[in-house]
Amino acid sequence: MYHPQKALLICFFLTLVQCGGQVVRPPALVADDGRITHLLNRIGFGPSPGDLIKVRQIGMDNYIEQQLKPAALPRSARLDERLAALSTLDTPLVKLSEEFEPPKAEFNALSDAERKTVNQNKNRIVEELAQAKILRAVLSPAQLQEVMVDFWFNHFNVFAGKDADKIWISSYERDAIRPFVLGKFQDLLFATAKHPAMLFYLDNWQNAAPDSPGTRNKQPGINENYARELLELHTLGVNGGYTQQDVTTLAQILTGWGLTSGKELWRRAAFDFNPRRHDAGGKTLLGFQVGGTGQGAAEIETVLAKLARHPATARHVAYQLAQYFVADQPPESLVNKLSSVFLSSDGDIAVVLRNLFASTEFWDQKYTQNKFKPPFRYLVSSLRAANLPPPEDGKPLLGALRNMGEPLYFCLTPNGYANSQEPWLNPDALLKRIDFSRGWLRAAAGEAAAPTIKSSFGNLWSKNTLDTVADSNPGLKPVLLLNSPEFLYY
Amino acid sequence: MLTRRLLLKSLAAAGLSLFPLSRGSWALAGAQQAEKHLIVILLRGAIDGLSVVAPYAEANYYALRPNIALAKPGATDGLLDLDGFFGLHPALAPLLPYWQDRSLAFIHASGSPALSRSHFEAQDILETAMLNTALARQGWLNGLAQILPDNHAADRAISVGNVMPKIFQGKASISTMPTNLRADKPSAIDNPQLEKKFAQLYATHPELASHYQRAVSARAVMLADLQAEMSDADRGAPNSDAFINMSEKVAELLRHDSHIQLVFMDVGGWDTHIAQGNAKGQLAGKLEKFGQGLAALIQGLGPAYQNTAILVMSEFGRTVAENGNKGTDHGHGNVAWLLGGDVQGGKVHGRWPGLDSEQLWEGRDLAVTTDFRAVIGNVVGRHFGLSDVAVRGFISDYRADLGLAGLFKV
Repeated sequence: MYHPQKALLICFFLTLVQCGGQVVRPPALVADDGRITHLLNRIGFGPSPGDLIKVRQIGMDNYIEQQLKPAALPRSARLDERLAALSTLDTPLVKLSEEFEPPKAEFNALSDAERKTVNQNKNRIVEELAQAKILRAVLSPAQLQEVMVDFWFNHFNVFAGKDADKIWISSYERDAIRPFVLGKFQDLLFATAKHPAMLFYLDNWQNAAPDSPGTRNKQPGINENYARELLELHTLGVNGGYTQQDVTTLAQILTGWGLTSGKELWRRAAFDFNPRRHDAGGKTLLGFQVGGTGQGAAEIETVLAKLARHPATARHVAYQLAQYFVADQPPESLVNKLSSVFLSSDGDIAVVLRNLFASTEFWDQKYTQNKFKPPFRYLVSSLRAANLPPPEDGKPLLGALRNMGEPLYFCLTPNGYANSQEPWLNPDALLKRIDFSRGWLRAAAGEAAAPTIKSSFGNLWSKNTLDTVADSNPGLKPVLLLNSPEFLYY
Repeated sequence: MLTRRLLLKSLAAAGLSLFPLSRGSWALAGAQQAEKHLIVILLRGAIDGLSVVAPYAEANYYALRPNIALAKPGATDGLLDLDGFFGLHPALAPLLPYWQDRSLAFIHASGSPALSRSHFEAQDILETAMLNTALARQGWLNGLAQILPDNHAADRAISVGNVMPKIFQGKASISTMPTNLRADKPSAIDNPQLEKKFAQLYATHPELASHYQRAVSARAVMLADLQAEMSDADRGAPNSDAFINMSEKVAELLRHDSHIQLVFMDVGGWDTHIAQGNAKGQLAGKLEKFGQGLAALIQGLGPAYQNTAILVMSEFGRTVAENGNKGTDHGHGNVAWLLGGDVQGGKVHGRWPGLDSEQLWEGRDLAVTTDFRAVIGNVVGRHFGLSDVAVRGFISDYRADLGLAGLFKV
């Protein structure tokens, strides 16, 4: 998003030789700093010192392209080193289950104190995952990828507090979300639909055709939970034009779509379709015919694929993305545009985002500095602006997020944490931010942080903020900057 | 007039500590005027109202719930009889005295005429009192806060919890009361110089400035109230249950701070799709704690209970028939609970639609015969003495329901 004429003119005055008649993308202009800051705020978790200059050098368009292809970006050695210390992150699902959930007979033989230890050990999995989330968001050069992991995790939320999901959640993000965040929407939908963490969280592993041979008098019935959220949250959206009958029918279609069976958790830690629990009859969902062909799992995959491509899904996802990246009440024009790109690209998320970042709405002045940061974004952007790596002991930051109302991976409800400001902006939240930043800045950086924070954002700061900071005592300066209107909004 | 908030502010400005203030000084000020309080409790996740106030005289209640129906009164673990037709869940025994002293009432088969069985949409509808939530610009409790006198006091309306719920979102000032009870942890703004510095920082940003000003005044009041309360709590054993704990705090606040008019609390975990249980089990365990919490709230209020109305609602009910997992799925009509000194209790209000299959909504759910907006409007209007026109100021589609005429004593 640069202005060719203006750029050429400046080239002309400064470095005629470099331009040399070639069609090269000129570096973004210093005058574009406001726009670069906006881009860094939205495409990632906010600028770190040096980011502004980097984007100025390579140009905003190139930066966007790089972010859309994270595999080609250099990895951060510092980040990899920190992640390597978190031993549960890469452990496969079955192994995690085996390691952290002892066989029932063994567990029953333990003393109360030993049982407590077993349960506390499980907490390590989600703690490490949460630490990794903060580390990646702060340190990863692939900022958009981390932003999209956050976005899609909330879209397909599961709750770490529900029994087996305490153990499975780490694999859920790693195996079902992360690989697909900039790929095809349908792949995300399939991966989440087949992951044990989702099947367990929304109960579909229990969903079986009544009186089917596979029920063996155990869990013998329909459970609508996943079917409902699949329509309401994951695909069509609440105004997507479906009825209660569609929810019931989809629940019937999804019968038998569950987990492997076995006494121990690790034996149950895999997706399995059980035709003996499936309702094989013909059904009508959203006006089209499903099933009756005895094809079971293929029938369900056809339905998922249809839902992934449904116009209502396109619109729902477009709205969510526009809300996340542009405005709490996103402009209708942008939602329409993204929705049609979603359909024409067969749900290619990178293509939709490329269009979003190129839209006039994304760059419109009235949609800059208009979103209030949720707690996680506030915390991460603070660390980035002050150029502070997350501390080795992750607990204080996780505690701070809990205190601010966004405990990582502990959103109980399937709609995930909100992308809009209503739940986050209130008097108490403001105080908590002030007190949090005062506490950790004092411990981690002291007054030295102020010039760093200031430089991260170039010329973003308002006169009132700069005046307020100028005549305050040195220790307070960074706290004021991180709680200024320019920093609380993005 | 020197209000307590101004007094606190002037003390803070003078650099005096707030801690030595005893709550006795506030109790005196509060006792002089009997102000009305409304406590709204939202049971998120759709509680099974047919287990709370169970229609044990309906044959279909037992036919459709072979595993999870509650036994008739008199049987082992049976219901507590209310009126020969309905029985109260035995885990709610702590509330029975209020039924007997006629300050506890229920409105059965109430709910939203909207068709939604989505938790989030239905909660939004309940919290905004708008069927089309896309048109809603505020929560109804915030709308109420705007029309009650002295709506600019930050400590007049209190939301319990870390995140501002939709019901309280809007223009009026609302304070949040943290559930972690660490309000006494020192804050930067307890230092008057820092307080001023941040006020300067937000001076040119109206939205943040207003939140900040509310934070400052609420902080002062909360600090004093909770400080007094905390020292009390040290004497007893800490209570492990969050709702009971919070109920006690809220009661304490209201008892000593008569100008708190509105309080909102929510309790989750009612989405019993699997293994709901009956007299024992998942739901019973949660109800037991909730009932104890409500009883603790009422006892904690002391005489202030006479001027308080407590309204308990949930976004929708659950299916009349149990599902294949011995649980219940999302349904329609539910029961609303109402407690308070001016309530005409000892009665199940509303119109009972019956549980025969042709009486069920869409063949599966308890029908809604009383609109939840009529319940809210009636309770708020009668309790605070507001006209229907005034009620329509925050429930735009409010229609008075004659079926609820007897909900309050005169």
